[in-house]
Amino acid sequence: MKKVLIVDDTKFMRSMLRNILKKKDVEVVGEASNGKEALEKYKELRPDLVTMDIIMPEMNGIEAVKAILAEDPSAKILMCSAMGQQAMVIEAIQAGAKDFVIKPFQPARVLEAVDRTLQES
Amino acid sequence: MDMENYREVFMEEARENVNNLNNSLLALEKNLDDLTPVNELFRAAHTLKGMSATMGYDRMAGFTHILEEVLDSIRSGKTRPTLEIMNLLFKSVDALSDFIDSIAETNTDYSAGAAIVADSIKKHLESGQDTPETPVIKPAAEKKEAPAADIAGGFKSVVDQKTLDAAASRSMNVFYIKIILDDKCAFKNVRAFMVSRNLSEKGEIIGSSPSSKDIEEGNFNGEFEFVFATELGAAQAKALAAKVSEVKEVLVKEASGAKKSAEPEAQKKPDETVLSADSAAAKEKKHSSSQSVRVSIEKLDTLMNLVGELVINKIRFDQIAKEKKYGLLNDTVEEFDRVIDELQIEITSVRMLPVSNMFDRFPRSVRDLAVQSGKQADVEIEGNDIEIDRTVLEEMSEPLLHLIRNSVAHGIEMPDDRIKAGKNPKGVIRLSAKRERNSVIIEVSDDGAGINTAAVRKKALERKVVTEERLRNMSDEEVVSLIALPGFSTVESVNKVSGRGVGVDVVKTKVESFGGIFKIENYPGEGSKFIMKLPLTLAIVQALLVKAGKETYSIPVIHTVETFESFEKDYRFIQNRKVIILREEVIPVYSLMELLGKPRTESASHELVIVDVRDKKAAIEVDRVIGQQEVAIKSLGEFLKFARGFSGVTILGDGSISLIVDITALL
Repeated sequence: MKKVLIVDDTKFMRSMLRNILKKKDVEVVGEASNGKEALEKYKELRPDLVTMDIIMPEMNGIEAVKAILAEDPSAKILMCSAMGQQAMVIEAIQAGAKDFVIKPFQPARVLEAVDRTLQES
Repeated sequence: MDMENYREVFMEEARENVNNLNNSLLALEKNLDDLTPVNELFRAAHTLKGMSATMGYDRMAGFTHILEEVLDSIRSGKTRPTLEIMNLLFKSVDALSDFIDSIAETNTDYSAGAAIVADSIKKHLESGQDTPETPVIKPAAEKKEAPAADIAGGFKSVVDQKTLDAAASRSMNVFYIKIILDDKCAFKNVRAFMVSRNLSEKGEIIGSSPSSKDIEEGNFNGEFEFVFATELGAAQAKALAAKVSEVKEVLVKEASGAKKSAEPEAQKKPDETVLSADSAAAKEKKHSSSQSVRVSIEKLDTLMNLVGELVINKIRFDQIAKEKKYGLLNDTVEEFDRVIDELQIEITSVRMLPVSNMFDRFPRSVRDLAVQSGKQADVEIEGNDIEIDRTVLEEMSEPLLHLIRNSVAHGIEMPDDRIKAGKNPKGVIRLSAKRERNSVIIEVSDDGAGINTAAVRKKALERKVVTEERLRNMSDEEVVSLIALPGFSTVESVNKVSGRGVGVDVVKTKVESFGGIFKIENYPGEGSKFIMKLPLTLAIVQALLVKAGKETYSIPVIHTVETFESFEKDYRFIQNRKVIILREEVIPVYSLMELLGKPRTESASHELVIVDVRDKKAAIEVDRVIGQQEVAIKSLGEFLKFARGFSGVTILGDGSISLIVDITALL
């Protein structure tokens, strides 16, 4: 089963995502509430997929994408963005994130993006 | 999805974020030139926006959106955080609190003040800047921008022949690629960027329609075209574009100028990859393991009760093992003890919350109170991470706010007076929490004028809370404790800041209801300090077991200082009261039996338990002190609830019942 790490600074969003991901054949192996924690958890858990919030304390999602990819160039990261953050998302994709979804989440869209990101080699 | 399940988490985190907003605003207000806190403000507002939109609280989401905008404007230096703006921001936070309160009560987001605040902010934004800036996006593809190849619609138009020739001369295929995005796609420009990036990795985009600038800025309605020079075939080129999410359709046609063979692959059904997502989603569900669960407080209480029962039985077990002296049994019991202790610690810790949950709201209150009364005050917090039982925390929040109000209203002086007294015009209110064995000590202190004992004496007489004769004999220290008597208040009129005189006595009563201790320290001219010693948890306490008459009573250790044996000859009588002199201190003696309305046990010797109640020592005379142990408190139940002098009951190792003495109520 594919392992997923959920990164978001609110428990609320994390539990939303967790619930959406229940519909998939994936296992949420960990959660992180900021970029720094995400990097640590990534090193520890080596998930197949990371869902990454952008605006977070300590270390934001874009820095975290860079840090994780520096650690593992094959990391698959799915950005979770709020409306109005196109510029940030582009920055994240340039940094190497694979795809993005927009909050408020549409479960079908999230699942599709997860599939695509996991399929990508 | 059932939103109801998320509401509680939403509320909790929304409140947290409102707290963050408050704290960051206070930090910003301290130094308006340092914009560092604005990042945190923006983040909190942004988070609230996302959460409320997800929950479908559209009014709240709309409001936070405006808040986010003004914060962004401050962050980028376009709007200056003037006093007026700061006040608006503080009001916004209040409006958000209103939204959350209303959601808690009625599950609808309503705030009476939000509309006015939002309008004011909007006006500011409009007057303060020329045009709202849209984020500038610079896709990597920009450098590859083709020499103005403007293709107007569909596959009919051609790209500049020279460009085509150039591509063809390098024996490359040139394709027109039309991409149609999903209707629901939100960031169309980002998707276009992703497509262009994918293509650029395997070839060169030599033209686009609309222009690359319009694509970057999202000025297109879901469809765009690229002219793509590559060594790949049509199917591969198509796959590159289709790989991007939310791409509904990709049409590829070979450009007529370069090679003239390709059949348009156009008008096919939507791309398969898009469909495959749905079928994948429809796969069987599997349980994913979760790392945390939400548990209701009631369940935790039940668990705590059960652990309490276990502790009682553990004590019995101990006793039996000791009596029977079976080696094997003893070993097992010891192990059993250890596990139960751990279980108890774990369950207790689940119920614990850091005091920051309570402390974090106070800086804002102090700010508001200070502004209202023309004073200046800072809040210093220490020990924010100390944890305490959730119930205690919740119940102490109001009383603490009360003390803080008092500190601002009565403690901290007006700035002019402070300067005259050689102090910083800005007063300091300190909140601290520290752990001391099984208690948490919370202190509220200020560096104000201290308690005016002369005024207290005068008021105490007026209010008849004490007789003139007694008052004359009272030390200043004792006088200070008078302010904790019911109905006492030194302020003449009902004061907006400290509120109606539900004063210190309410706080004291609350602290004592938890079996805690409340103390006041006064330093005339330098400030005052309110000290609250609270039990870590309410369910299990350390108690001193004492024998009085036929019964065994439990006295919570939190109140006890020491115990020793006493003989009749040790007692003295002062004004007809039995006292004992201990290290030159005169301590009144009370027989526990008499306190409980029974005849005192006559005996040559007794034991005295020195207790500290309301800052005064007293000696409780008992027949015998048995020892100290932890006891699980059981409620007395409905009928005995009002039995004076007892806070509960516990079951001892031998199965007998022991009443827990409520010393503060007896003395």
